[in-house]
Amino acid sequence: MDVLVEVRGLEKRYKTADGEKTVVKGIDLDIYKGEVFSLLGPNGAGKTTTISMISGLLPMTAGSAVIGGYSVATHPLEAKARLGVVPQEIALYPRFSARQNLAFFGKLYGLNGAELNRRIDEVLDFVDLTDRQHDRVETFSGGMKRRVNIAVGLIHRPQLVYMDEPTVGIDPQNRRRILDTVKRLRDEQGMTVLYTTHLMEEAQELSDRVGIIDHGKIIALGTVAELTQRVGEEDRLIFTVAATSIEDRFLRQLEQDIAGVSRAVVELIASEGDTKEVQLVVLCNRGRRAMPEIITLTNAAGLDVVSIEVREPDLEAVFLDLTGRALRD
Amino acid sequence: MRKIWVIAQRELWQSYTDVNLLLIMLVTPLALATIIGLAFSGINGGNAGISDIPVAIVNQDNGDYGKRLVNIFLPDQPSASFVTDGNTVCEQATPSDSSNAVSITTLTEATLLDDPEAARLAVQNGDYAAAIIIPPDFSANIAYSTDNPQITPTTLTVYADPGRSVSPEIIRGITESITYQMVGGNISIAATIDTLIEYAPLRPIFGTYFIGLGLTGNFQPDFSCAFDPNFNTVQLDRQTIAGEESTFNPLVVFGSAQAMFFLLFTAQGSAGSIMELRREGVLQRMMVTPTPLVSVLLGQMLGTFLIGLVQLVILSLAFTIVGSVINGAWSPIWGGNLLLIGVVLVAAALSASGLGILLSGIASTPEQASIIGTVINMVMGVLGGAFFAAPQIPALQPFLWVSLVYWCSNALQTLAAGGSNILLPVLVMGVIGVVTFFAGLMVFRRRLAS
Repeated sequence: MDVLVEVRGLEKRYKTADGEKTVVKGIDLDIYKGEVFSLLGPNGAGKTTTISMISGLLPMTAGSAVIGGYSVATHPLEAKARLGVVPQEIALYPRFSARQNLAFFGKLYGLNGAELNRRIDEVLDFVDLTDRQHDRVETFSGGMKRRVNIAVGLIHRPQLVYMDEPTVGIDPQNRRRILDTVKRLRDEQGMTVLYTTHLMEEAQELSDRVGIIDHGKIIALGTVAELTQRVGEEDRLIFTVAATSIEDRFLRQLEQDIAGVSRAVVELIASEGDTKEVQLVVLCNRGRRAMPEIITLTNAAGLDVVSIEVREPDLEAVFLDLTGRALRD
Repeated sequence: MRKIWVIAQRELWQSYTDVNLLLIMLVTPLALATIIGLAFSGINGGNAGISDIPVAIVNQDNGDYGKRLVNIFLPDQPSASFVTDGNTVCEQATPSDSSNAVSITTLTEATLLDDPEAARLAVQNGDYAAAIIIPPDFSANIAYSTDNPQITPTTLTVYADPGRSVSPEIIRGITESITYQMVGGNISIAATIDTLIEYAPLRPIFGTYFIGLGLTGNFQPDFSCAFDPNFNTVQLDRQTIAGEESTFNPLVVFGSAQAMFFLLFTAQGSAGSIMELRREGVLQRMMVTPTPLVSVLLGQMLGTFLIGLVQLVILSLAFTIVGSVINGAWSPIWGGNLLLIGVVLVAAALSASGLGILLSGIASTPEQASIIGTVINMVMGVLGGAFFAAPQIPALQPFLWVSLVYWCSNALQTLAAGGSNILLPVLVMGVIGVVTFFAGLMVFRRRLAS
């Protein structure tokens, strides 16, 4: 497969009061033409810093990034011309119409005249906003603003579209629409998409390949199938427990005493007044069979189980397996 | 270059579709011009020249010098005995026949009173701006003669109305000047006679002739020029550098400073707008396009520059219109040299827009830009004379150079007075514009990298 983006030894260090802090630690990455590549990781893992360096917004401390054969460091304008960016925030002029926003950014990408108008029409049609093109963006709903935000990133028909958590803070209907748009970009337009998210479900649904990033390092890279194979046939059993915490000793007991359990961790999920709930997440082969034993131990420990959920092997389980933490931690 | 223009156009469009900003840019200058014009000139005042200051004179002196002083203010009063005999020619040292010169009789409206206490009360009541009290021994003390070879210090009292700021000072100044002239004249007479007396023994022929004049009573030198009202040094000349008539025009003085002061706030607004763009991620989005940071900032600066230039032109027109209405005749506020006016306005807009870029680099948030900008603008406004005549205060003069308001005001006032020597202020504004832009670019780059 043709490589569109080649990242080698990418590193970012900041000077702090205590000395130096490394937030991206030598990332190596290839993104192939025509694929949707997701960078999955919890908040603060280094996703945005990595992408900011690849897109030339942030200077890299070490390493290199090449887009479409052009080095971001030495040929930034050529590299940027091949990249479309859809930031997480609505980075638009609210008092401009959708069409005016597209025209402005299109001109910054070097488009002009008839070509610019044709591209504006195409992307407006693509995001289904042709009928509202002359309305000010400030009058749009959140979902419509997101669609204009995406359209601006596509205006110059980039080879690579980078989308930074584009579904944050929107309703399920618009979220679905955006996920479908990402698929259409790959399937209908043949574009390469670099998608960052902390939502395992999105990465799993959209991605041809996924890079899992944590503490500034890629800790796993491959297709969803390849990654989930890492945790074998392990199911993920999620027990919601009415408690403020669960002792580590109990977690180790689960791992040692119950056959098939490879890891048990706790995630705080809700806190309302005096009522607190935590999730006990257990990675386990043949999870359904182990469930009665786990419940027995839980009861013996005096924990009140509110609900139980069994999930097939997924990226969340992979992350849990690799880091000992849930993605939402 | 095309992208710079695209960004500048967007900035212009943003500004000219913002109702609040339009109000500030268009209505405020008109209101400002009207307020300053009316406050200083009065709706029917024509120009702001000072005339007919009411002054009371009490002459308790029966001598020539008291009469002479009264004559200067009231020429129709009985004259002093030593006025010129008509044969003596007094060469003028100053062009007092200029049509632009203001005579003391035009400047003042004097009334002769008898009672010093009544004069003082009249000043206190506001009937007069000042009262001059000539003491009884005035002539006797300052006159020089062989009988009185000593000039004795004497006191001439001027009562002033504290409620009036300018007029009493003018009267006090005139009175001082006249008395200095009289004393100076008498010292000259004494010195001349002493010299003649010392010279006579050294030149026997002259000495014999001089003694003869004295013995026959024919020694009558004419010193009238020293006291000739036409030779009076007290002249308020209203000449401009170009020789045109000019008066103190508050619209020029405060208008020029206020114009730049308002422009600085426009630049501050622009800095705030860049901060907003950064906060909303729009600036970052512009920077991931194939557009260098320097082009993005130049585009922003060009937008601010054009907005500022339009604002200055509107403000100049507003001042001109208001000034013309008040004067009853068309009077361009900064004079008639459109080329030089254009140069000053361009330099002013350049300096303000460069400062705006620096401000956007220094500040982290729009709120911070607003606070820092306001402090800078206020300091520059105060130093530049936007609120009072700060450039005339000696203690502030070493700091004036830091104020863009001062330089802009200085250049515009020079042009308004008919001058053309604006190289220094234009150069300073231009350099500040360029330097602050590049400083802003460096700071901005560093901030983005972190």
